Amino acid sequence: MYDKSIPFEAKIRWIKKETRDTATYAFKITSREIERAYRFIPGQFNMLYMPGIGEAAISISSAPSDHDLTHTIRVAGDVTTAISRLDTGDVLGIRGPFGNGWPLEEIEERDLMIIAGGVGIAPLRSVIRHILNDRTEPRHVKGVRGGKISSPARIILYGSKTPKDIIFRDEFPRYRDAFQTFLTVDKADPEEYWRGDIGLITGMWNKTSFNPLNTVVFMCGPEVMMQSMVKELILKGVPGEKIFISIERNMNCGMGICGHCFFGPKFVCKDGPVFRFTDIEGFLGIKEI
Amino acid sequence: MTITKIKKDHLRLIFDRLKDSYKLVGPRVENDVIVLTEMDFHDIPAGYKDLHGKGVYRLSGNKDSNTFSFSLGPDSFKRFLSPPVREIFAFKKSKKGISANVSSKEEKPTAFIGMRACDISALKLYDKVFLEGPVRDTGYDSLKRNSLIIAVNCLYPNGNCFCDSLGTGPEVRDGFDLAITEIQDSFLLETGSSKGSEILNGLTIEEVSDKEMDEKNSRTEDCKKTIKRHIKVNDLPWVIYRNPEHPRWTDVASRCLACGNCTQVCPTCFCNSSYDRLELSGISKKSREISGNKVRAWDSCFSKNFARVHGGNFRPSRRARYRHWMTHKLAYWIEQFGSPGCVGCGRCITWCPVGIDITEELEAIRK
Amino acid sequence: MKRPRIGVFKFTSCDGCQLSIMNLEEKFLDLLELFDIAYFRETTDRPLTGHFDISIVEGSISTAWQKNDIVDIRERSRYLITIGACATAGGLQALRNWGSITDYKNYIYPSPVIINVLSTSTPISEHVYVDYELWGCPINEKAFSETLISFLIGKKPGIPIYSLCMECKRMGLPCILVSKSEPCLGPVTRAGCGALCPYFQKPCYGCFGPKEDANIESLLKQFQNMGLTQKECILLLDKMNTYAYRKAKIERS
Repeated sequence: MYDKSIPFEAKIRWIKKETRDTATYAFKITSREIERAYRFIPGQFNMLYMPGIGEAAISISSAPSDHDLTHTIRVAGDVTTAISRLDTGDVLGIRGPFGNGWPLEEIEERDLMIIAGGVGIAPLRSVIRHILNDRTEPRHVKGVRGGKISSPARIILYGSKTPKDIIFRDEFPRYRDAFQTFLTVDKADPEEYWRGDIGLITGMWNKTSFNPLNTVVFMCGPEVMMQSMVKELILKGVPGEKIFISIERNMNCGMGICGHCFFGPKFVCKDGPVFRFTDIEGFLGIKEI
Repeated sequence: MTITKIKKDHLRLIFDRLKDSYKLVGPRVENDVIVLTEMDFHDIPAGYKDLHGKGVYRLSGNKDSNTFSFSLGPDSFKRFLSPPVREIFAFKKSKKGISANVSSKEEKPTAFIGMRACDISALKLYDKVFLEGPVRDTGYDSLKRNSLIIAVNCLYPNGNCFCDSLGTGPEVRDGFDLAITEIQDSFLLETGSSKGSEILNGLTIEEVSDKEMDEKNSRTEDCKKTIKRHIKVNDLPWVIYRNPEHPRWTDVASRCLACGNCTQVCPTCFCNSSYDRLELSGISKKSREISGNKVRAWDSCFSKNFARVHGGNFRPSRRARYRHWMTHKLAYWIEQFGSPGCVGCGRCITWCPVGIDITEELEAIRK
Repeated sequence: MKRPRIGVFKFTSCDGCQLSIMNLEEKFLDLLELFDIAYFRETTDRPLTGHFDISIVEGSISTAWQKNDIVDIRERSRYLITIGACATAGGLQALRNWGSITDYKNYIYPSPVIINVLSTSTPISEHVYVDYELWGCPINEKAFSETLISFLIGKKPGIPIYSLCMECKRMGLPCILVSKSEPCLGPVTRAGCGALCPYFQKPCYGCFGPKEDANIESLLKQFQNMGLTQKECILLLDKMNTYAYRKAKIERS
């Protein structure tokens, strides 16, 4: 094993621009030894390190079964700005993986609803690709819950600000092989061709078909969005125990010794970032928790 | 565990022996305050009495015939096990790539002299944070393993002590190598480890009589009786969880300076921040090299930037920051690590510049 | 790569902060390797020309022509950093903001008419946009070089905004406010000086200005409990950062 408090070097293999402020970076871990020891599960994150500037906690957007380790990064602070200036072949430091990841054992035999807002799709892409890569998963036709009646529904609800802000837009056609996908935007430029929905994710309920009692929800996005979504889901009859949300906090160490990332009694870095809704229910509504 | 005794003037011999293989860190008077520094036998503030109030501390000398007549200063031993500023690694970024190197230097093991029951309990909590998490903190681990704990049973609690309510003191029970109890004519010694008994090898140690054991017990009982401050813990953590919007939080925020003193003197507060430290000489524009150090420094949840992320701050108000600190101490800890994060040493009460009293605040939240 | 052009400018001040820059001594040579010091009257006689990547401004605005000059400097600069209490908080001379300028003039000068100044002394940020403020009287040279490095490599300077107490406790200094009842402004003052005064058992008098979210009211109440009068309390704040402290005090209450 390697020491997770010390960054290791990784080289950028390729960069793919997703939107005006977001790009996907594929990394190659330089050290063979670490690369072999490096294992992660969807939903975990790495601390990306720009020497001299600092670290940022970024979730892994590729599936463990993917060829490349990727991060999808939106430019927000100093570190992400510095990363956005990097080129193919440049190096940065990585510590990780940290966190618990999505509870994949929950989705066997159950309907899965993936709800994402904005760049919150990144950690969920890991799950989506994990399912796509999994050959035992049934394939559906044209987004309708076809195929075998017994096969579980797979749904993606994704909300962005505008059509231009949709991340992985080019990958969505492929997602439709296994998922019913629903995209919505807050507002669309009338001059732009957009045939998807406009409005909140909650407005898409009537289009989806799922059995609330048999559904597991994986959700990541702005906290306000997630709070209102959880309310709606529970009204629909989805059990709170089956709603999992990934939350964001200030991360400094990634391994539960710095105290920056508290969400109520939870260390987001080691107990999270994915939480069962019922475990943190009491703290979600409190301001400035 | 065996209990023996030595004559009062033989304590010096233990110090002499320790000095050979350990750096001694313990209480010493500096500028009218008992601090923890490197010290020697003659530095023990024997006979000193310290008076603790809410935001008040006074020390007076030659008031007592006992050697360990004093109680706690502002420092706790966390200073030596998780130093205020520590280099984690040195980094270098050049054309060749990125390297991060941990420099390890062999240090003389440290003997911590005069650690009280509350501080020992605090170190147990520190172990849970730094050693039992997903990643073991190697720095703390090696410092802790390399240390020797010479505990002292409290004789006189100060006005802000409330360890009794939390079961963390005043009597030292475990977690030490050697524990000293002062009685009228001698020091009783308990060994808690093989390292502890090694120190006593070759010293003239005597059997302890039943009468002396009784004296030890009665002294401990007396000490317990003199603890005036209490905190009710049976309804924790729920009493705090139930009251996130209690008006008292606003009231305490009007007094709280958010200066962070309480967190820095607290023996269990562990929050820290890591950052890159650069020097002008570490940057070379021509060869595009940057080198510097990754440093970890004590921080505090009272710092405004502590919970800041890009685009927002999760705890911008002083009210939320005080609430977070106290809730963490008395409630979150229980969920996180199985016991309250408070050991009842009372340092946060003494060293708060405006004398905010955690026991009083908790009582007010209950109402 | 071209070195960024730096200009160092001065308004009403004592030059102490500029001296702090020169006190970098051999590190000043490292600075010259990374930056082109294009204008710095304290050290060179290079004339004022062109634009600057970073302008460093010392001193407060206390005359009418300074008001125009600072706008000119801002227009020439990509980034503008203020250094020291004068440029960041108006300085000691801002004490006149609480009185009448004519009274002061008549009291001090034999022929007061020749003194042509504004009735107030104000920080640079009240006149133009400031990218970064470096507090202190004088500034800490380490913080100064860190700020420049940060601008060079593209990050926010990591200079703390929390209280001096944090720095003081890290150094292992027992609180003199508690142990000696000294009226120390540490709890409401920014860290950055290295706890210089508490190190010598002297109370902090606030030369680094108010920390974020300073609860001055509560600290002054404690001083009054310790026996200070209200007037003495206010006098404690009325030093080089008087303008900032009083503003923080009013904003909080």
